[in-house]
Amino acid sequence: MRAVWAIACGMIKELIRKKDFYVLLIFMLVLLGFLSYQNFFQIEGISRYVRDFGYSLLMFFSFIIAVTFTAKQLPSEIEARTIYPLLSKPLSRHTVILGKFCGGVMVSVVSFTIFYAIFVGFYMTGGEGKSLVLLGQGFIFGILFLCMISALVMFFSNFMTMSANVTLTFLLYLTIGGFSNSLRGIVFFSKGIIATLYGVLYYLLPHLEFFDLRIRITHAWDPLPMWVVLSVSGYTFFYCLALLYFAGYVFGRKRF
Amino acid sequence: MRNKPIFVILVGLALSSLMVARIDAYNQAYAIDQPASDVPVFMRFLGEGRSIVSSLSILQADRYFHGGVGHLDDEHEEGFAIAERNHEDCEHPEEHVLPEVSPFNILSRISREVGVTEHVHLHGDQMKEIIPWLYYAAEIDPHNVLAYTLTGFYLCDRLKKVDQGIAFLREGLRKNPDSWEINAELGRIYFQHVKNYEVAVQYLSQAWVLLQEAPHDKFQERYILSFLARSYEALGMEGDALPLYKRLNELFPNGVFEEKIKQTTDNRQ
Repeated sequence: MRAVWAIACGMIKELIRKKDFYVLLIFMLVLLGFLSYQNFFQIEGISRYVRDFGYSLLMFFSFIIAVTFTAKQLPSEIEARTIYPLLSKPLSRHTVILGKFCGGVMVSVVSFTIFYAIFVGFYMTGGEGKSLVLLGQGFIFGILFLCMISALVMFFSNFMTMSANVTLTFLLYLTIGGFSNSLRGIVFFSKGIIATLYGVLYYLLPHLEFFDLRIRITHAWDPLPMWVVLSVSGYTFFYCLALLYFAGYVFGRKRF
Repeated sequence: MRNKPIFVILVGLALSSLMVARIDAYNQAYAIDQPASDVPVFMRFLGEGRSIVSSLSILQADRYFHGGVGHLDDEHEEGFAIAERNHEDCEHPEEHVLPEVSPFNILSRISREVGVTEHVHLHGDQMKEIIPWLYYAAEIDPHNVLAYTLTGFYLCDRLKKVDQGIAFLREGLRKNPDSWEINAELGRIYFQHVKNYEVAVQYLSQAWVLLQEAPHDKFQERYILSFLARSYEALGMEGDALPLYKRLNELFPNGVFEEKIKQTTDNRQ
C-alpha cells in the first residue's frame, strides 16, 4: 500500500507543477463569472443555464485531467526508461498498475473537488430548488466517474500510444454520452441476432451515462434513491476491478 | 541581377495591393446585405452553420421548458412545445412510455432511474429559465425569426416584460424587415398588452401584405386577420373590419365569424 501511495503522490506533485489545471480553473472561473453576470431583459434570478454550463464544464475539465494525466503514465515511463528502476523494486506488475490508477484518480479527484467547490459557490448564490443531498450525490458520482475513466485509460495504456489512448477515450465518452439511450432502445426494440449483438455491446461498454446528474442538478429534480447510488458504486467498483486486473495481466506479460 | 529577389518581392507586393483593393471592395459590397455587426465575433467562424446552432438553441429552450427532458414528437402538435400558445391546456402523458424491463436487469433499471422521464412544463416565474437560450438563438442567427417571436411571446405574455419584448421584436424587425411573423407578433402585442390599436393596425396590415407574398396556410391568415379586424373594431372602424370577418368566414365557415359579421353590420347601422 505504501508503494501505491508513493506512486500516487508523485502524480499529485506533477499536477501542481503543470499548468493544465490552472488554465482550466481560470477558464471555468471566467466563463461562469461571465455567464452569471449576464443580464437578460432585466429578469432576475435566471440560474439554470449557469448550473448547466457549470456542471458540464466541471465534469469535462475533470475528465480531461483524468485522461491526460493517466494516459501518459505508462508510455512516458517506458519511453524515458524509468520503468526499469520501478520494475526492479519488489513490486508486482499489478501493484504498479494500481499505483498509477490511484495516482490518476487522486489527481483528477483533487482537481474535481476544486472545480466542484467553485460550482457549488455559483449554485448556492441563485436560483430555486437547492438540494444539498443532490449536490452530495453529484460529488460522489463525479468521483465514481473519474475512477471509471482512469481505469479505462489505464487499461488502454497497455495496447496503444498516449495520443491514441486519449483519442479513443474521448470518442468513447462522446459516443456513450450521446448514443447510450439509442443503444438501449435498439436492444429493447430489436429481435434476433441484432438484439444479441447490440445487447452484448450494451452490457460490455462502460455506462458513463450513469454518472451524469446534470439534468437533475440543473432542473432541481429529486435526488436519486439510495439503492441507485449503491448500485452505481458497486457497478463502478467491479468494472474498475475487472479493467485493472486485465490491465495488470497484460502488463505482466510484456517484455521490456 | 543581384537585385532580382527584391524586384520579385516588390512586384508581388504591388500585385497584392491591387488584389487587396478588389477584395476590400467585394467585402464592402457583401457587407451591405449582411452587416457583420449583427453577429457576435465568436460566432462568425461558424458561417452558415449558425442557423443550425441557433435552431439547437431553440431546441434547448424547449428541453428546459420540459425540465431538461426531451419530449417525444407525438406529445405536442407542433415540433416545439414552447411554440404552442395554449400549451397549459394540452393533454400529455405524465411519463414517456418505456418498455417493460425485468427487475433483474439492473443496468437498465439504473439507466431508467438516473435518466429523468417525467413530462412536466415550467410554470409561472420558472418560464424565465428558457429566455437565455431564446436570446442566444437570436444572437447567433439574427435571421431566425422564430427566436424573436418566441422571445417576444414569453417576455410579454408570460413574464409581463412588455417593453423589453417590444424592443426585442423591433430589433428583430430591423434585421428581418420582410418578416410577416414579427410584424404580426408586434401587432398582437400592441393589441393585447399595450391597447394601442392604431400601432397594432399598422403592424398587422404590414404583416398581412407580407403574408400574401409568402407561402402560408389558413391558420396563419386567421392569426393576422382576427387581430386586425378586432383592432379596427376597437378603433370604431367597423367598415374596415367587415371584409376581414367575411374573409375569415370563408376560411372557417363554422359560424363563429358569422356572428361577428352580424354584430359588426348591426354596429355600423
